[in-house]
Amino acid sequence: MKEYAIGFGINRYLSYSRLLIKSSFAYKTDFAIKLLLRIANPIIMLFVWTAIYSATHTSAINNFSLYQISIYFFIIAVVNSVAPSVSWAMAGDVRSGGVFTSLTRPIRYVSNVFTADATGMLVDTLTLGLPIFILLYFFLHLNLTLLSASLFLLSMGMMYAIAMMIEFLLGFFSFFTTDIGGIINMAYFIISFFGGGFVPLNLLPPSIAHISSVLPFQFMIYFPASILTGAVSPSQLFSMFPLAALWFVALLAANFVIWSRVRRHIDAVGV
Amino acid sequence: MFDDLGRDLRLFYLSQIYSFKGELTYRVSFALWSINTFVGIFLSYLFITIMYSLSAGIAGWSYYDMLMLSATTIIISNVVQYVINVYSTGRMLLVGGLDIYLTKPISTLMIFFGGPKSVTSLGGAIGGIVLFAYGASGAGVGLWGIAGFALLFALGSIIFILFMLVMLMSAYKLFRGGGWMNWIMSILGNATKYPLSVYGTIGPLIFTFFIPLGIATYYPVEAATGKIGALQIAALALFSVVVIVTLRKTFYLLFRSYESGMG
Repeated sequence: MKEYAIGFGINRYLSYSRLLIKSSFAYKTDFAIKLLLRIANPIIMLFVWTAIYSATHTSAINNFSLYQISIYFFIIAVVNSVAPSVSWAMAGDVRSGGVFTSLTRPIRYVSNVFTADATGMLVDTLTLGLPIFILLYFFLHLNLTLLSASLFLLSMGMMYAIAMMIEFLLGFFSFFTTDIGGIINMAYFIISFFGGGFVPLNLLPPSIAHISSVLPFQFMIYFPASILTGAVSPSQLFSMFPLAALWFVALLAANFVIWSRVRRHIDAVGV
Repeated sequence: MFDDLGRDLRLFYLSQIYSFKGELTYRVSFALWSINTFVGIFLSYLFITIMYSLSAGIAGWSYYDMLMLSATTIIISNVVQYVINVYSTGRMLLVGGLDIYLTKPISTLMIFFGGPKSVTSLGGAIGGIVLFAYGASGAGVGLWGIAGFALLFALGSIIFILFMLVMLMSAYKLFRGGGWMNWIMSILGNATKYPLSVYGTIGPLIFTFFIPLGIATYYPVEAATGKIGALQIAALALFSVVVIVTLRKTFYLLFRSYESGMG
């Protein structure tokens, strides 16, 4: 059983990762177009919020200036390019029967999925996230200090860990029902709304903001996006760590319990 | 000619029946996709409500006008998704999946329109109509407003569908790809769910002459709310017909580049 333990056989995952990186760079035009599409949404939001601020004749709505809100939506584009998406991969594996093939290989299925996603994350960070960040720094004059950059990286780590746990939970649904696209999309809508993807959480009505403040979704969008806007102070971020850690542990435990049941339930379709 | 039209319509009808049957085989998936569609519509409504409770909104556009515009975008994107599945059609082009259909006596456009249908898109369109009706009753839209809306919306829908087909064929011709076509559709839908005036003077020009999707969303709502008059509606309708003819011709021209097999 030793070769199945984490830490052992790491070279297998590294080789797999190298292979994935090569195949990712095979479609260079796709990369260029994806980058353009990634920045399209924040640009649309920039126009919309400029019109809203102009019609409202104010420099700040709920202490959020137009400059802050512009930065906010661009950073969401960076966050989205780094966010995991293992649920779609798992749904595809179950439908195609690929999960069954994976189980016969000397690598863990879950680790295999994680490796593929982490590799994708690395590639997307460098090719999509970083260029957007550079554009933001030079064109919107992002105020970047060592502290804010460190806190941003920390919050991105927090985002990735919690998002990964939620993604795996969503992916496990595919073992119980044929098509989980509806569940995944619905979850994305809810995460985006309660996480601050539609509007920053401090602009939401107090009742909805209160619900958001106890959910884990705020760590997936609002916190990483707000740190660089200055809307969230370092002390606020640190005070949220226990809640983030609690959510991570709870989601991790839920993943372990569900995966142990899923393994007994595996029924590859192969359609 | 009318024999061909009858045959194509019958084929379109049959493709819908089989899609309905196929999709309803998986009832849980169907229910989940339907719930997802309605959650999306509800969140759009919530977003506009929050936006207008926080601010004065967008100049010249009341809360109900914005609901109508958002609903129109929801209806059009679902109608387009129902008529043409951009993703699966793109895949079909790449792997030569059209070959077998090209040997049959079906018109080229019908090959694209007769593909698998997303029944939940129809549900989304109905949800959009409900939201539109709510917005229209709040804005006090009259019968003439609805008539102007219906005319421009119908023409705009044809433009949107033909535009997506042209984009699909352009992506195939230029890059032999197009896995990102769904993204383009979603971004264009996102861009046109706000009044084009937010993009300055260049916005209406771009979304009328270069990416003519404003005709399907922005102008119909402007007609419904009385922001444009009968003369402007007639001019837009005439312009839409010209765009439809141009897009149709461009599509057939681009389709000549389709190569069989793994092209």
